[in-house]
Amino acid sequence: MQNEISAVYLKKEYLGNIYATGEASTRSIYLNGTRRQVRAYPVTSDKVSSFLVLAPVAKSEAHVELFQELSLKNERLMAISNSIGQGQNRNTYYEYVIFVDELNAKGEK
Amino acid sequence: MEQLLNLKFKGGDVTELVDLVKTLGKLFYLGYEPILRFDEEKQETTDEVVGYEMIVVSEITKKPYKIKFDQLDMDFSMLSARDEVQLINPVVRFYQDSGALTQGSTISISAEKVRKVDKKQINSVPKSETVKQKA
Repeated sequence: MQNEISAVYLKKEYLGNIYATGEASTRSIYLNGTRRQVRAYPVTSDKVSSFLVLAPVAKSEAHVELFQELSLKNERLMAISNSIGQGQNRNTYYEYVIFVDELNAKGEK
Repeated sequence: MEQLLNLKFKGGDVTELVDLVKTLGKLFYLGYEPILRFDEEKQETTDEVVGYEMIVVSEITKKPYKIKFDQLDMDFSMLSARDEVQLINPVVRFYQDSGALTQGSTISISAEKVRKVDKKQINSVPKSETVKQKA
């Protein structure tokens, strides 16, 4: 039996300290029925290596330095779909990402 | 976009990373229903009870959620509608959406047992979400 829920929040201690591992790029996603522009940051952490954090464009840093520590607000789990190929060869796959309300760089840039 | 995610969960089990308190807050009992075995050959539901579904309402989302129990020795008689309850050894599974990108999230919750927290009841549960309690 499955229950729909708008947000699945994560324990702070699960991710540990978060560090940027590349430039942010812009994505357009549906979030609870609304299309939103978000920034996607490739990151790593003390406890989980290599994952993606999505943050609202207006509430996130446009540029972060490589390996800069990041501060996240209200981390929640999300599954987003991606498609590769075309026509009958088109395949959809899912990936887990972390969505946050705010993303800031810690300390001086 | 590059794919480099290591967020993978066996069978969608996200129990160890989900903050259930922040996600759902306090849980309040509404009622329960038996889960009946489905006969695949006859394509019909039998009278055999194979578990229970407890319906609770979340303090945070104000929505009802079904909690699955596989044990057959569950006793819900100590619970009244709107009692605060605590799940013992809950397991949370997270499901991928079928929407174009994402339309929200879907979870299932099961637990070993349930415990009544206290007799304090809430008044904020919408009446429309009250489920008729089975005897």
